Amino acid sequence: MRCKFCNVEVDCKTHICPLCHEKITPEEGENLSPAFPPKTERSQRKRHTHFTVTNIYLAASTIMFIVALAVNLGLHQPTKWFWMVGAVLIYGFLTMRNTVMSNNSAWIKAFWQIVMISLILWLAQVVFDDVMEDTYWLLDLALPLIIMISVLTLGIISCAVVRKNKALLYDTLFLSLIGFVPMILFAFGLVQKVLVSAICAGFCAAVIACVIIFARKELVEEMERRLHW
Amino acid sequence: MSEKTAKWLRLDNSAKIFPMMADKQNQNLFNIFIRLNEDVDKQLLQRALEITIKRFPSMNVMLKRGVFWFYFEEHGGKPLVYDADPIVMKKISSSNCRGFCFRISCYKNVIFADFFHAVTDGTGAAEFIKSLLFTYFTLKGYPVDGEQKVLTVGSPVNPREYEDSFLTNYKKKKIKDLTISSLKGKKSYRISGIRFDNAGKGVINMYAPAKQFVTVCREHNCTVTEMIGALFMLSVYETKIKPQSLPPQDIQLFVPINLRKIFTSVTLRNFSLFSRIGVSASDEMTLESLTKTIHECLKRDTQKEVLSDKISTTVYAEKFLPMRILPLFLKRIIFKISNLFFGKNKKTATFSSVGVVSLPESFRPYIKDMGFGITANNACPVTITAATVYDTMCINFTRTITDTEIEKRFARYLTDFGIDLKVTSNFWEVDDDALQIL
Repeated sequence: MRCKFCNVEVDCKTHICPLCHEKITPEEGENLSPAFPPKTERSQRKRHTHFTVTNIYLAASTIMFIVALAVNLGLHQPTKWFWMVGAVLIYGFLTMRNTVMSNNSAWIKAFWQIVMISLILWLAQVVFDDVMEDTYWLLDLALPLIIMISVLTLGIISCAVVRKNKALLYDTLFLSLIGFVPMILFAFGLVQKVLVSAICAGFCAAVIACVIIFARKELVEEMERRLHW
Repeated sequence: MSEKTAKWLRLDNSAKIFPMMADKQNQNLFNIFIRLNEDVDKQLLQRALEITIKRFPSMNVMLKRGVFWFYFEEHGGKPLVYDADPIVMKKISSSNCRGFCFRISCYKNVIFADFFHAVTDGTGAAEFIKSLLFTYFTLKGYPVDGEQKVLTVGSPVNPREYEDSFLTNYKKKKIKDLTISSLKGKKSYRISGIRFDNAGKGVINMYAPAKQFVTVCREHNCTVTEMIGALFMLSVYETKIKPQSLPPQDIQLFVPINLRKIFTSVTLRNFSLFSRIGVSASDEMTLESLTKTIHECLKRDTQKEVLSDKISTTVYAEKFLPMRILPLFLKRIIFKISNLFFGKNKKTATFSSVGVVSLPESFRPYIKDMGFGITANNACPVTITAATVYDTMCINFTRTITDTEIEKRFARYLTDFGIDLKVTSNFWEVDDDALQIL
């Protein structure tokens, strides 16, 4: 069929000219197919929608925080536990963004989890300071334990899938390096009881040694590709 | 491909920038669309794709993030053939393409192949598609022959097919000898218009008999590329700049140049540079003056010495120590900021002339036509490509703006020359009620 205005032949199934949008009439017996898939409602959805998972979460979190704030202050409770509610909601948001929906490496995700959980525990220390008398439990006990649990979890996963995904070995190695942080803190006098920190450092050193001894070839390959410059 | 290289590949010199510039909405994509003479058998195409991908190790990869650069890792899975999405050149992501950097889809008698530019350029993609079509037609039971024009599945893989030809043709130079200024652009007119409020793009394809087009070019003593470039510039001027009485400004076309013939490379990865063709838009512009300007610019920018200098400059930038040691996330930030401040308004449009795509004669009974498209974005709202397959030239316009004035004027020029044009569109600018398709 032809568009008499543009003097072109229209070579797809339509009733209007692609150029001038004037109506055209298909010729008899003409059997053309569309050149592109037809538009659907979903494909025409606006680019900027307000109802994203993130926005819904943020709205719900804000409401929850306001309710917690009102209840906490309204009842004149001495402990300001609404801060903990806020921290947990922020933790949920960051976990969603940086862990669940992120393409980051496993060790980076684990690292941020360690940081965020440590910060929540620190906030708990500040908020519930009348309940928790020992101010050193976080760095002495909690931090090394969190690191050990993270390294152990990642180590077990990487052993389980080492044939399919050698990249996790590299991640385990990098995460294990964080295991020496409590000992560094001890050197700076920030950790009082060294036992758990020493166990953490020893455990992580053992993990590093295992990775190097048993998976050196895979590790070197992984380092080569990740660190090429 | 040796065992070592089969596991991972560095990105080639020009590919390095593409993942860094990608954001939520924009990604450097291009596509190839092939209209067959009968409906596509999706299951057979899937089998053909699974067979063909093994012949192309540089395509069988997924993009990974390193500490300093992105890299490609061998993909262990199988690519899928999808139903074509109404949104042309929709963003390729790990979630919608299983981690591959390309997407094959089909709709009725059309095969669409979208490629992320990091993995290959138009020439490499065309080789892949030719091989895919060959396998598909063979599975269909058609009597096709590669005629030495197709990298068939059984043919040996030449290691040079996945080399970084920028590096192999790099000549070390001192910084003072580099032609950094040649890579910079001048401020130019940016096509304006009402943007689509969704992720879609408008596409108009114009099909013209190649012989008629060549005859017209001979009459005007120019090449096909020069003719299309000149007509496009005239169309932009007359539909956009002149009616708005805008102050004098440059129209600048960004024209990729295939370096394979000049540097005798057979790589299937990126190996192209660009030429900037700029003219000062005014009433004095004529078809003859524009074709002459384009001819001179292309002649200047396709000299081996000039291109060699440009290769040296781009490779030098990659090898520059501060650039190398910068962690990837910092590189991305720097690239995005520099693009924000210096990258905008440096081109009016991208015009890619692929030339003649050499398909075997035995494919002719099964292929109606074929074309290329490049993605458009807010910085470059209109792109134009031209490719000739058999006797038909396909000129593709992809745009992010609603109006089709440029295309309309361009088509008017061609029909005034007596060229028989066939036009198709995805009618993205038209309301469903007005469209009444099907």
